[in-house]
Amino acid sequence: MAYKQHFIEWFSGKQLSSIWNKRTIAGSGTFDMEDGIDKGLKVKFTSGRGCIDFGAKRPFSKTGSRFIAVASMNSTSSQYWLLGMKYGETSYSPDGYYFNYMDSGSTFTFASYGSSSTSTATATSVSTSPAGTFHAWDGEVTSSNMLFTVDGTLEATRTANMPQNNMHPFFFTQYDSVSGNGNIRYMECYNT
Amino acid sequence: MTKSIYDQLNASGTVAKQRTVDTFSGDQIDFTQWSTSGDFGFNLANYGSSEFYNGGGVILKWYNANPVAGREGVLAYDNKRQFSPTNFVWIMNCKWTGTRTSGVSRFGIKRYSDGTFNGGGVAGATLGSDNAKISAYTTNETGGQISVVASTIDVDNVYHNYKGARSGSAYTLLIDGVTSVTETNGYLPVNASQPFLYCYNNDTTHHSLNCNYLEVYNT
Repeated sequence: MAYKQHFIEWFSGKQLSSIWNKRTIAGSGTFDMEDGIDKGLKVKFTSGRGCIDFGAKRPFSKTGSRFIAVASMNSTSSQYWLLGMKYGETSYSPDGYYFNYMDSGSTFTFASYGSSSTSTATATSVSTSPAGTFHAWDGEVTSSNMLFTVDGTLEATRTANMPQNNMHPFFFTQYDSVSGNGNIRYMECYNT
Repeated sequence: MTKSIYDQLNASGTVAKQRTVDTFSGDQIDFTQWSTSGDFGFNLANYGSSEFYNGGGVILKWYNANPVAGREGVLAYDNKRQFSPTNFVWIMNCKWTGTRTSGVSRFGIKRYSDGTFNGGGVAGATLGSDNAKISAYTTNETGGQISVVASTIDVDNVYHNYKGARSGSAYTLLIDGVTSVTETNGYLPVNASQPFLYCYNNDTTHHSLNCNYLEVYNT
């Protein structure tokens, strides 16, 4: 069997590897490797929003791919936070499949968006609450569904709004009434 | 089904801790990741070169034909310290080249990204003038409290696999998976650390340190 696209990032060292695109979509943000045990990279926006992604390079399949990341959201509410795979570049509800937190609510959701329209993504709640702690986030898309696992527990299976395009990984934060603030110390993506 | 690297490294449900891996391959050192300090040149070794026989990886050595005594070079993470001083593993494949009088090379994890060893914790290994045997090298955060504990293996000029590990109170250096050295003086780091590779010139002759694999992770 031919080896398919496979990517891994440890988020350690002096600064973020240059293979990543540091995207400031609006406002002001930073993308700094943090000086602290197990802290990885911090993506923080004191205004506006932004993310790390692969620019417009999209090597991951809409019908057979998986992402695994270890990341935290550093507030309990009042910010936006997204982590996973997307096709688009600047939206806070991009086409793709990903975990997210949108300003308010008691838990994260698992969202997907497969339309070319401007409507927002649809989402299914998972049981994990934003509390400033790291979790292992695991998303997979097949030809028929999407599986969303947190810390080894399958939290949701979705079939609505399947991705319609190939994708690239991203980690996004956005200011609302507090800074958009998240850390990430591992990400792996591959085609299945 | 394709297995993830994550699933191979971690038990199901584990939230993995910080890890870093570098195979020191390619056109040049990844200076987005590594910082340099001191006077040594940092070059990737060319496989097949007589100087770096059957080796490769990164090499730390004086950058011209005239080494200067008392100079040093460090490769580290610019004080981005993501590794625990008490619960860690580091693994490095390293080769030291030179005579013991020419200098010393150390590697492992340490507090500061410069040449400081007299203050700021270190948990590593040492090759060269520190001891005739490959030795564990540790310091605590207080200046002058340095521990060099010798193994039974003479310092030589070939690659060895080195593994430094600490879980709680004991720091152990494992050489080629067989020979074990345990730090016995209690001089151990207490603050967050980063990987490092280091060389110091004792005199005006060349010595060098090759490394073709580096991995550090928290446990």
